[in-house]
Amino acid sequence: MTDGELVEQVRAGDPAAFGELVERHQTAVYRAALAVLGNAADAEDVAQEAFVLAYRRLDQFRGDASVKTWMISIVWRLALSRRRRVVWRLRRMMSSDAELDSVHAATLTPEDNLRTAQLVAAVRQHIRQLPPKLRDALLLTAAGDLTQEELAAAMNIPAATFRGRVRDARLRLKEKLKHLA
Amino acid sequence: MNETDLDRLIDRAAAELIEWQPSRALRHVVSARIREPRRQARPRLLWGSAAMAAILCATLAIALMNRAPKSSVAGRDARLTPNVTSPSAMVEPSVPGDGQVASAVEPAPPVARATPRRAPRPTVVPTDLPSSIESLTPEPLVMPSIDLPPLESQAASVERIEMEELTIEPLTASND
Repeated sequence: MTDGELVEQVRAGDPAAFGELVERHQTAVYRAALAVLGNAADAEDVAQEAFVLAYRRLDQFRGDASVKTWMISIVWRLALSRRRRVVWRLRRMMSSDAELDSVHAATLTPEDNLRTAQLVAAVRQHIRQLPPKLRDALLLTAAGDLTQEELAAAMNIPAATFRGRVRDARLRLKEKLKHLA
Repeated sequence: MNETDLDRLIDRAAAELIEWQPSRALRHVVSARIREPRRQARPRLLWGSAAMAAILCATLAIALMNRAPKSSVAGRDARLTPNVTSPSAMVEPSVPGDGQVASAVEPAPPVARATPRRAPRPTVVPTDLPSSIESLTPEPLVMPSIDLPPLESQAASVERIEMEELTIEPLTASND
């Protein structure tokens, strides 16, 4: 059953069909929120809000884009709204990035040598320090759930602009990594 | 490390930052919230209504207090002095006996009545209540006489001034 058919079922009064849509797209929606917020708990919370909002506004879905793109555009706006909140920024400033780093350290395989692990950790740190627009574009592309054109449509910006942001992010990172190499 | 290695390094680091999975409860939580769509809207509405009602009550109370309800003051005075019918009689009561007014506040001037919200309102003490202030009986003042020495006046002595007699000469026709 396609996404469009599930949408029609939900519109016909079957909320269980929306659960199937959530199951299909929850990873992409969650990662989009994670790319913006950089925090697992906040990303989960915003993804939940996005799905509820999408359900309530399902009558506004016209089918111009895919259901996944439409949902990512919703979670994108919600995540940006949360990131702009002063309280959220203050909380992020006081908390450390130890959570993500500890998880990533645990995922290192025995084959990873120490130097590679240090390099990857340094790149992660540089990615976090990128300007938000560049970092968002780079991380959303790395997630691989949507093409750059679809991501640009979800962010309501031209595809060339999105591609330029990804390219700019890579160039900045390479400039900073030259001394490491 | 060449460009390709740097690209791989960036891709790997970015993937590690983003390749997370949502919790398995996400679908169930969303489904539960969808089944009860407006559960949280009701308390917000109730709290909002309660807050609005409280603000409205406070505003009305302040407005009523600032109105300086003349009718209520007059009604209270009327209750305290049931025989008094005119405002002048209310504010200028006469106390039989020693002729002194026990206590009565001067009525507010007409100018003050023109601005009733800010003007201090007179407080009228009922006249039929017994006064707790005893009447004063002042003793007559005794003025002691002061003995002063009589003033001495001295006559001024003016010396005589001798002056030559004036002679008036007739005017001549010529001016030589």
